[in-house]
Amino acid sequence: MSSPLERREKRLLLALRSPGVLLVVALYVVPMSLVVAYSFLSPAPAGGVRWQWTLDSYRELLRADERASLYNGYVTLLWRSVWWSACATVVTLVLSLPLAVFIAGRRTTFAKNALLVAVVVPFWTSMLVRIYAVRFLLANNGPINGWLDLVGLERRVFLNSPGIVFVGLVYTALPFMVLPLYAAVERVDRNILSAARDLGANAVQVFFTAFIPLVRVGLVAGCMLVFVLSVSQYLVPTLLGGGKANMIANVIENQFGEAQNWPMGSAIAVTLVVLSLMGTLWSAKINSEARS
Amino acid sequence: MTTARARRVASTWTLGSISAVALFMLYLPVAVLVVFSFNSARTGAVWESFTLDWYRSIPDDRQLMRAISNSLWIALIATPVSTVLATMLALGMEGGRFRGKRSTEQVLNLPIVAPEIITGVSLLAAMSLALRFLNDVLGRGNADAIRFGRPTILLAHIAFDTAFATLIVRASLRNLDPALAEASLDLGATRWQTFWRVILPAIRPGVLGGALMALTLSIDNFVITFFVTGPGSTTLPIEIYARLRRTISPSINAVATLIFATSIIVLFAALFAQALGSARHKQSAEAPVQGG
Repeated sequence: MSSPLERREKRLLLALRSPGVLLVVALYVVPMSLVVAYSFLSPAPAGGVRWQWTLDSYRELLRADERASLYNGYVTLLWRSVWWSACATVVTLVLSLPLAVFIAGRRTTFAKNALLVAVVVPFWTSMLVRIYAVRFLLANNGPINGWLDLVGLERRVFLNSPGIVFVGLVYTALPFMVLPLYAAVERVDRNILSAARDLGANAVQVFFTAFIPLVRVGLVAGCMLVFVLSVSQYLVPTLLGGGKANMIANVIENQFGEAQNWPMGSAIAVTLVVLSLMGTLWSAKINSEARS
Repeated sequence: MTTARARRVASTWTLGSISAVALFMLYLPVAVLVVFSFNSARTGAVWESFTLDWYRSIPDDRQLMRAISNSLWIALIATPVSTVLATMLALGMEGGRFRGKRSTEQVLNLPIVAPEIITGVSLLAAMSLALRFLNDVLGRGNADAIRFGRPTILLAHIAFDTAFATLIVRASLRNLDPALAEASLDLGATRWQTFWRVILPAIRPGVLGGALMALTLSIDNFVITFFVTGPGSTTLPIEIYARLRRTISPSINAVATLIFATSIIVLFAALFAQALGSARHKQSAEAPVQGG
């Protein structure tokens, strides 16, 4: 069927991609499968697992009592992470869409590129540095409180509250939303929008019945990216929430660290991945419906 | 006509002002941080006077310098290794159709879509199992056991660096006309010669962009590194994080500013490489028949 030459070519391509694929299998596929297995095992006293199959971790997870007082129960925390991330996604979208439309509307390539670079710079900057910068700015002894002092207002405590964690989620996610949105807005055929206008649609109608369907794929992709990023945020609740506004990633870290209950940590990790996957599949479904 | 024009101007202004607010929010914390890294006061509440003392104190801070050298050691090995792996992967993936291409794509997507906290705990679980096995096989006791440290961090970094760099190299490979390689082979060049003389020069901006991306990811990464680090192998982001949990010394502002500056320099190098690549692409398209 295939000539020896073709077969040689195929072998060559296989050899080229094997090292990279094997690396990702060894460091992602195998470890993640291991975590799934660990979630059904019992904990060993000093971290690690005993190979004894059980559903205890998942039972514990569903128990919404106050026993894990530091974290007010796992279900509460999971729900809080999902709810905050969903709200942060909406706020990020509301801030990003005008920016994406504005960038796409610039006439000169220079203005467009300059604005895009302005969005890419924070995208490319260390997340730790960006979150630390927010913490520095809003610290009790930080510049904002210094300025409040200067103008004769009372100092305020901004940090270590759910509100500031929410602001942090939006702040870190913004560039991740603008870039896919911009790509979608850039491709919109303006003639369709003016046609809708000419046919008598008002601005609101044009926006919801013509513009939004045209950018839907990019919009859903951006929302999904931001949601998955937010729901698994570790640095934002740790550095801005100071333990008073923990999210699900804090519990996972705690179970693998201090609490030394790896099966519990694994069960929460699996739940988080399943939640993210459901979101991803849902958005893929929306997008495939949009295309057909 | 005039009302339509007025409406357009008004909408541009609204869009522009929301965009300005979004960009202002995005940049304010980092800009303030950079400015205050030159402030002589110990707290961020007041501006005293300009100083470079916090920068001057960095080289004397042995712990910090060790963290910087660890970070550089890891990044400088992970970057070239992952760039080579990514280029091979890109060639192997873009070279043609093969059985199992879809599942391979999904595996390669894993490092990009997986939340970092999940990757972190999975690697912790898998690597501690692997290390225990390795120590058993090598017969190493507690004293000389192989533990978490630079090698484990390096492996983790190579994996995610490779996945992200592959995206960029593949994009530039897709823009390449396949006829080029075919012509080269038809004219009697070996595959090796075709790669070095035809393909690589054409995709060089993508390879360079992938390498710079890997470099930044490696230097900036916190969450994944946090789970696979060990005593004595602290990287710069881990060191900064540890210090943030203790006290806030203004020297952290100076270090954070340096990290930010490094990211920007690398980003502009990447953008420059890309611009250069597209300029050359345009040039060769305009003068297709040249030389012999």
